[in-house]
Amino acid sequence: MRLFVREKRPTRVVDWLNARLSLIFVLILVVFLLGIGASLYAFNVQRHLDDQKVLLREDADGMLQAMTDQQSGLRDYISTNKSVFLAPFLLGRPAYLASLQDLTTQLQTGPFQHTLIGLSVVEETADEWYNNYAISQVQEMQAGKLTDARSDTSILNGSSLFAQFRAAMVQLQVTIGQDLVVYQNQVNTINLSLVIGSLVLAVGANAAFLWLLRSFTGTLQRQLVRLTSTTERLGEGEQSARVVSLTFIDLDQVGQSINRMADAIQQHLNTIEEAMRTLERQYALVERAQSESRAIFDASSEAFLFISASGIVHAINRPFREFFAMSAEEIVGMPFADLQHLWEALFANAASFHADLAQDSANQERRYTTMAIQKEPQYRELAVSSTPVPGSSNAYLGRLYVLRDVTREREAERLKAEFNALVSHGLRSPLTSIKGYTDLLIQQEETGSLTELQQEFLGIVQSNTRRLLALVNDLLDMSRLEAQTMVIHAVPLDLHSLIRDVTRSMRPQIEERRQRLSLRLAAAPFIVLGDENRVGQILTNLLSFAASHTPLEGRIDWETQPAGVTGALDTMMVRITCSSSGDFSAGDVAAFNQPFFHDSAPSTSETVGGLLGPSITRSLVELHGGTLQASAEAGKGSAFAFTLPLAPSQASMQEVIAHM
Amino acid sequence: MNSMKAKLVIADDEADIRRLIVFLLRSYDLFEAQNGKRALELICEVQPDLALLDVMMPEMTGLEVLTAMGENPLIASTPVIMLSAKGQADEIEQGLQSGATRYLVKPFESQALRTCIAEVLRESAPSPVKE
Repeated sequence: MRLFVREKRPTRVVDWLNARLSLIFVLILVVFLLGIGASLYAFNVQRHLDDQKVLLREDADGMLQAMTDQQSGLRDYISTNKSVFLAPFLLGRPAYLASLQDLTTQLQTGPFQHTLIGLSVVEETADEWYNNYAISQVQEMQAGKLTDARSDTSILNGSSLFAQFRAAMVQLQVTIGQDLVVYQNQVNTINLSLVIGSLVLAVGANAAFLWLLRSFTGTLQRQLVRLTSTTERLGEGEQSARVVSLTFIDLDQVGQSINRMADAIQQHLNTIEEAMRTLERQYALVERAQSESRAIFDASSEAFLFISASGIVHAINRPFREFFAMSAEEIVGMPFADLQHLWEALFANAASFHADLAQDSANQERRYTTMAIQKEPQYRELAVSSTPVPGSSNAYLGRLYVLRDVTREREAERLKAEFNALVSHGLRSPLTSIKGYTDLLIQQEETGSLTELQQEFLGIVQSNTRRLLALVNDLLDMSRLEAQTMVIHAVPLDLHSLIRDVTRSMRPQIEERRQRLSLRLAAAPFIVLGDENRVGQILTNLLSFAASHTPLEGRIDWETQPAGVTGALDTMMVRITCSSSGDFSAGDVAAFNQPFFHDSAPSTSETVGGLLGPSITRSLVELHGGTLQASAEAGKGSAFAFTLPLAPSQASMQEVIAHM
Repeated sequence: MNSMKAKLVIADDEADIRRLIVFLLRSYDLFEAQNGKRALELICEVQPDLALLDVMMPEMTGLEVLTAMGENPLIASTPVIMLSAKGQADEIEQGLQSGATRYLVKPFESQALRTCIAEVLRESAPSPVKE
């Protein structure tokens, strides 16, 4: 039985089944062969018994016949004394002995003890008759003692002995019949035993087969149950569930596969859990960053409106809610198309404003600033700048609209514009009269002669008129530069020619201060790209400043040289240097080097007219794409150096020279 | 009739400046206007050889007068010199594009004004002699 319960040794399902089916097959085959053998054996036994029956009868009959032949031959011989009758007697004895021998042999092959006893009785009676009667009778006959032989006593004795033989023979026949019945019974018992044995073996083989099947299905089912229960436990989330080692290799392999899968799942779950924890931490960080961003978003004084890439209002900030007295719920989530109704309620120029915004979806890269005039709940002028918002991977996230309240700025701009108009018209007109009449009086040609004192005083009026006019012009330039409305009409200009013109116009002022002015200009002309009036203004401002800040009899130099590719423009430049033997103050240098002139106090009263000059000059240079640098070193003089772009044709020529 | 003085319409809302210009150009036959509307009326009425217009004037600006003159064939070819306190490059450009022959910025040099007027009159002189 151990063969079927031992499950520890791994085997394949098919091998296991094959081994046991082969065993059962052999068992059934053995039973079958045993059945056949038993049948043959029973058949042989029965046939032997049947043969015994015939042979025993024949032998018994042969003995009786041989004895009868002897007895009748002897009787005829005695009565006739003819030798011819001795032949049956003499032949009968061997026949009797032969039959006796056959019968004895036959009886030894079966359970014929009783018959053997009967036969010995028959043999005794036959020998008694033969030896004690027949032989003596023949001897008496042959001795001629016929009378003795034929006496009644002898005859009676002979008949009596032969009668005993006959009686023994009858008894033998009966005994043979009885022993044959016993023998038949024995054979029947053996046959019955064989049939029963065969049946028992057949039933046993079938039982073994059934038991095997049940054992197989039971084992298989138990192992399958282990597999399914493990997978079910895994499915229910019991991560530690594993399939134990199984007897069947193939099922065990399935089990191990499930275990490996469970391990892998466990590992993945661990990874996912770790990732989840990391995500949670990051989410917390993001949430904090988001709330900080929101706080920053809300802290801005500008209103923010963020529209997502799909055209939905995604977020607004606190100023937006305050500007338009609305809650986030009222607008966040609203599709872009619906905003038009909102703008109509809020803005005076809703249609054009919405049209501006509507172009954004078609052109994601577009950046622009437009104006919105808010009418409700309060009048505001809003500068709306629209900027695309790219994500970390440069994907388009949406568009941010920043609404800045410029009501006051615009009011200030209007006031400034009005002020500028006042300056330009309101100051220039009286100056026109002052200058015109003063000039007429000083010329004396049309208004009559003046005394020297009158001429001197009118000269002072004329000079101050000029300074006032210069200041007005500077104020206008300054306001245009600040408003970024200054227009530069750049054309190719002969730089050296311009420098000479400016120098010529300034010559009286320079000579008056007995200063030496020298031009150390490059041999070849420089053709620069600039606005003639503005470049002239730059040169005039610098020379004027230098002249007024160079001591009497001091020295002023103009110098020009190529400057290579410098500054914001990707083109060849020329550097113009105006150097002075005078020492400019640190404040004067700073005035030129700063974007705007912050020092409200002029360095000397003489520079009132040039109060704004440094800032304007610097801005004009920068508008041309150049740079301006003022420098001063105590005892070694001062200098202005600025650059201007060369006109394209000359720039390429200078480039060639630079590479030679 | 060559000896007849050229007729000039002078428009400026500032009386002092008008007086200065009148003094400087006293050799011409002058007609004064103190605002743009009056200037246009005078130009239509007198059909001068030249008009000297300020830009910033009440009723009609100098530029509006120029535009109106362009729409009237009788005076469309009359040369106009703008004389304005507005002297920025774009303002000058705007005046010239509106049809002005010259653009002078206030304050002006007396001689420059006289020279400019003489030049413009000379340039427009080939026109037939007036009756």
